[in-house]
Amino acid sequence: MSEQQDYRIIGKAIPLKDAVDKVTGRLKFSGDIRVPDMVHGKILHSPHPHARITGIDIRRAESLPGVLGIVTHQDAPAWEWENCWHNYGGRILDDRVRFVGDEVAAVAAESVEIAEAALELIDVEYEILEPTFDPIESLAPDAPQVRAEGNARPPTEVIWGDLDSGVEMADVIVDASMAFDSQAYAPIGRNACTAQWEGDRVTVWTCTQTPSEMRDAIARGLGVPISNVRVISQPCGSSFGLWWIGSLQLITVLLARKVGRAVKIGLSQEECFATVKRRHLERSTGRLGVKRDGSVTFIDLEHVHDNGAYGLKPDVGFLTVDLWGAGPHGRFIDRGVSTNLVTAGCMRGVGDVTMGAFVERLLDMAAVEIDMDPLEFRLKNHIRAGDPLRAMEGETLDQMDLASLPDGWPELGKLDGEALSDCLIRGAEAFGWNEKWTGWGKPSAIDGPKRRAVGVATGVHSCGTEDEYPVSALVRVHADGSATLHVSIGRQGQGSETTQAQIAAEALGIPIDRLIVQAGDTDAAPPSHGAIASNTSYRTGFATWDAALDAKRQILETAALQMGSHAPDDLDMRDGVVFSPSDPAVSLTLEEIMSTYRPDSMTPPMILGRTSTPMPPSMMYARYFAAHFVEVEVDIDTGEIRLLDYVATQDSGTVLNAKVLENQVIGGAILGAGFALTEHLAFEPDTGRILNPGFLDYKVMRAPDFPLDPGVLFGDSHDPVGAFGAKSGGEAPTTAPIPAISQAVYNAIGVWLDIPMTPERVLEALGKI
Amino acid sequence: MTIEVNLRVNGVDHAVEIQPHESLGRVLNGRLGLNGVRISCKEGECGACTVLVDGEAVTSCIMLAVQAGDRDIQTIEGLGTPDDLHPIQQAFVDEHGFQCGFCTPGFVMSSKALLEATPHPDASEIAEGLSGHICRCGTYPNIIRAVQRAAEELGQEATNE
Amino acid sequence: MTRSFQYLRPDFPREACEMKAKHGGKAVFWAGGTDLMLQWRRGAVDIDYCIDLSGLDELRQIRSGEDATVIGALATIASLQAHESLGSDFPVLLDMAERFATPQIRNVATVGGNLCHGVPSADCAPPLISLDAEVRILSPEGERTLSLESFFVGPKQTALADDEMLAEISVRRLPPRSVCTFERMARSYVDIALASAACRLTIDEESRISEARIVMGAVAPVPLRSTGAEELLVGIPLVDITEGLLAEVGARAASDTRPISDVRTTAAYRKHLSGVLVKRAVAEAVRRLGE
Repeated sequence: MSEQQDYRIIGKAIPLKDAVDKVTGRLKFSGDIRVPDMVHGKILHSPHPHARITGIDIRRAESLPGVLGIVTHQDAPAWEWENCWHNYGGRILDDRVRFVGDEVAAVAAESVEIAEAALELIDVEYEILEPTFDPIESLAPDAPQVRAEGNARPPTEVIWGDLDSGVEMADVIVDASMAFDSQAYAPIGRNACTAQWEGDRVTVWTCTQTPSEMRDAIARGLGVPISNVRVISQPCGSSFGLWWIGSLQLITVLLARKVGRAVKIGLSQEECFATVKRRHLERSTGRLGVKRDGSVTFIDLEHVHDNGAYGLKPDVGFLTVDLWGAGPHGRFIDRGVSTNLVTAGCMRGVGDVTMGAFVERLLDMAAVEIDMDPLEFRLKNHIRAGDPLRAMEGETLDQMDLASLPDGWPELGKLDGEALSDCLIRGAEAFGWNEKWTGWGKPSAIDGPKRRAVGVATGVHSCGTEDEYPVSALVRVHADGSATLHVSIGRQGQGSETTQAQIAAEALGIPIDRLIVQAGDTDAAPPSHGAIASNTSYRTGFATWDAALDAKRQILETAALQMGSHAPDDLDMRDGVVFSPSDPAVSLTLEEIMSTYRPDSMTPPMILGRTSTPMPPSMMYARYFAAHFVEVEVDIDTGEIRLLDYVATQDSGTVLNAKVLENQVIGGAILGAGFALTEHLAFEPDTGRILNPGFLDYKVMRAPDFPLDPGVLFGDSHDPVGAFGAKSGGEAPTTAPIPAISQAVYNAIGVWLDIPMTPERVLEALGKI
Repeated sequence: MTIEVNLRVNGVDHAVEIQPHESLGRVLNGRLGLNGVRISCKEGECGACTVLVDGEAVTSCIMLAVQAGDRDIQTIEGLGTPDDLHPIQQAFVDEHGFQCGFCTPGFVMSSKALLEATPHPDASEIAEGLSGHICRCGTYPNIIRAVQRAAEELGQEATNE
Repeated sequence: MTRSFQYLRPDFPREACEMKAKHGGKAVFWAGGTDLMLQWRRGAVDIDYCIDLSGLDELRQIRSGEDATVIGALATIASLQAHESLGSDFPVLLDMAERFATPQIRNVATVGGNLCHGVPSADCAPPLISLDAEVRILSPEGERTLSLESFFVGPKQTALADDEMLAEISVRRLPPRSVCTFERMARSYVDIALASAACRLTIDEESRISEARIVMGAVAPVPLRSTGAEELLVGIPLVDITEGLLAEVGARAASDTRPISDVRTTAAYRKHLSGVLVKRAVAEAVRRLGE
């Protein structure tokens, strides 16, 4: 902690960089973008869950006054685009539709109203195909096949030790199954895409967490060089993984090229909810063995997740394996399966929210059998620094030349550091766990039909995930000493522009208000993985830090050259002033340095810092952890579950900005708690159509639905790799709420429930309806 | 059919030709270019489009514009400026009462109506008073703190006057 | 090209009825519009003429008289909360208003609009029916009065003829020793009721229940009164109301329901819930009468 006290900016809960624009309503979202001469597009969606388009006649629509052009599958390239981590695989527009809401065509017109009217004039003939909706039924070989690849993805397996030995060692074996409905991203804002071609160059304004990948996909799909595509990422409100690349952007670019005008397509609430992505429907079964002393002997889990129509994920991630992989024997299998439902993809805490909740349930059921306090049980079994990361063992690690790795890197394949015990212990203290815990299945208070009880659970996520994009940032220092940080991360609003600015300004040694973050213009920012998979504060942060240090090194070298009296090593910069620790006489402002000619070239200096240090693959060693504590009240007559008290603790390494992290932690908890209790998409049985594509009937938590003053505590670990010791923040807190609430509900009423734990599920489990 | 309606927005009269079905939100955002009137759900559920009509918070996405004719309409644009934020806006900034900021203008406008009716609300009064809003990022605890802080600030101002 | 409608703005109630009579079935009265706007956008209702009632100030008033309180059909839900004496005369209407939609909707939505929309889940209906409210209905020719209970004839169907308008809701002052309660349950804080129940009990001087009203929302095509459940209570001394009797009353009321399954919940759940809510509403009324 002592070193942190020297920081000027890191650790300060400064307001968001764009806070004033947000509270004055001035911030421009993707829907607010208007370019000269732009026209409006609308998308025609399929009314059928599964059909082949045998004819599509656009003549009536084209002849409507004000219509400028229409694209159908006949205009789309044969090329199949694929989104990062198998979130999507398919053509921009296809002659086959695979879910109700799938894109069939798009119209550009002088007004939105004309475009909407034209949609009704497009005559489409469909050959209806048999659909499949249930994830388990869709696995059967004779089920209707949604895709050319078949429905079933090859199973992904993680196996360690020997299950039979684990079974033999166990004093108690529990088994269970659990089903998860599908959670919606339920965005508060609505995305739009505006595309403008100038010759064979295209500029795209839209919200995306992955500007670099979107740029490359557009270039590949439209057959132009990457250099000809510019993506300028705009905010559009909460994303949680919804806005990566989508049909929206590719269709808009295609339509704009066809009509030769700038085209904007804005999505409605229903389109945002029902035609883009959602969390997978998931089914878990498994068993777990323990000894009487509480040590886990084996864990054996089979998981199935539906990918919807265009997802291709073989697995939803195995980070929960890591959390409880300290036991000697285990097996995790996950299967992905295609269905004729809207595409499922990575949503905040993917896999950990679901599979993690199931693993915690198995742990709880085992702890019930041996009557051990769930807090104690978790403290006894969770992974410690140096323990193997089971999901990383094997092939991935074998591919690396470990001997060639730089000195000082963490040992790959093992957990590098953690403070989960610390989070559990301090959280328990703040929550009053020991006073409130009354034993398994025993409510802590009974008042008429109301039963109170507590629960504790943990969550984990990797500190980012390496993929096919580099970890990169650029820092430009301007003539007046101000600076711009270029990073390709999008602008979803989680505070990353601010925390990246804090890292850059601190590393560089300038005041934060002298630095601007440019977070998603691909013509300016170097290519990067984007703001996905908890990458931003850890991996982008590393890149930003490295680039800022590179810029600072150049500044000090330039200053030394200009002064001629000190070596660069003898100089440092703070608050925008270069000084010498050994010579109080030295004091040069950055502006002075930038406006003074270099003696060697007789030109002003050019400072451009870039990331050049390779970052260790963080999946292989870095995890961040959450421990959540909750008190619930269950009404056994109405089935209503209310949250009375909540404490969330988190180990995110060095806290860059406590307010930013607090919002990530509580926001994650509320998103997870919403899924635990009320959030689920309702699919029409015969068509898979989403029946609740909006806030009227998709119930998310509002202020009175969650405890008003939850506790938030941070661990005090410092990561050896991350910028200033920081780790990640946004996904682990989404994973702990379901198991914590579910455990508390068990303690209140003695039943284990599927997710979400709706009132009717409570009453069904109690045998009341 | 079109009708002419006078919309008095943030103290300025605007004579606009509208169609009868047009919502107040659509006219404020689309016609008058008020960027802070956020149209999202169009169901009166999310609260992002909230403005004050005669001092009362309404969801402008489902209110007929014609029904707001000749009434006093306040939007976020009429509250504070970047150089001179209203105490509620400043409190939202300081307490991080948002993440993505899409819902923020609506929350701020309802907070204004709430504090005018109840100058010293407790946390549950604030939560109930703002229950017509969704913050999908889930920053409710900081929103509640921001409103409490603004209440103190406004109370202080009132005392000084 | 764009879907829209004609706009009419009457200055007097009678004029509004005449407009409705003239333009027929595709003319609608537009009050707060918080339901109507959604329905129209969804295409669930055809509108050729929108008759905007905003100019009918006299129907916005709430008048407390000695014998009765008269609520203008255009009184907003928020105005129920703001009224100086309504809350003390009929606390149940405050309980209902506080849980009605959102603060923004309450500022615009009207009591009359909520009733005329005619949905079984309308929050205003059960408490007002339990208070034996009457509605005054205007037409170009004259007016008539109807009990609110008989105002509802089916899902989204009321007793109003094409040229008729709901003008006022009148609630007589309750007999002494009366209490009215309201229970409601939804999926989250702001939500359409999954089910609701209102109960009004009046006791005589010997503390025997002399009158009972039990009305449920969202569990039948119309707001549903359970006279069977009421009969179980009438004549019973307060002190003799046992947990067992309360359960019987709840069960009897639930057995009258004909709920549907929809995206919000199942019919089985609604049926069960209605019994629980009735039991609670009655228990609370009994508790308060005993104080």
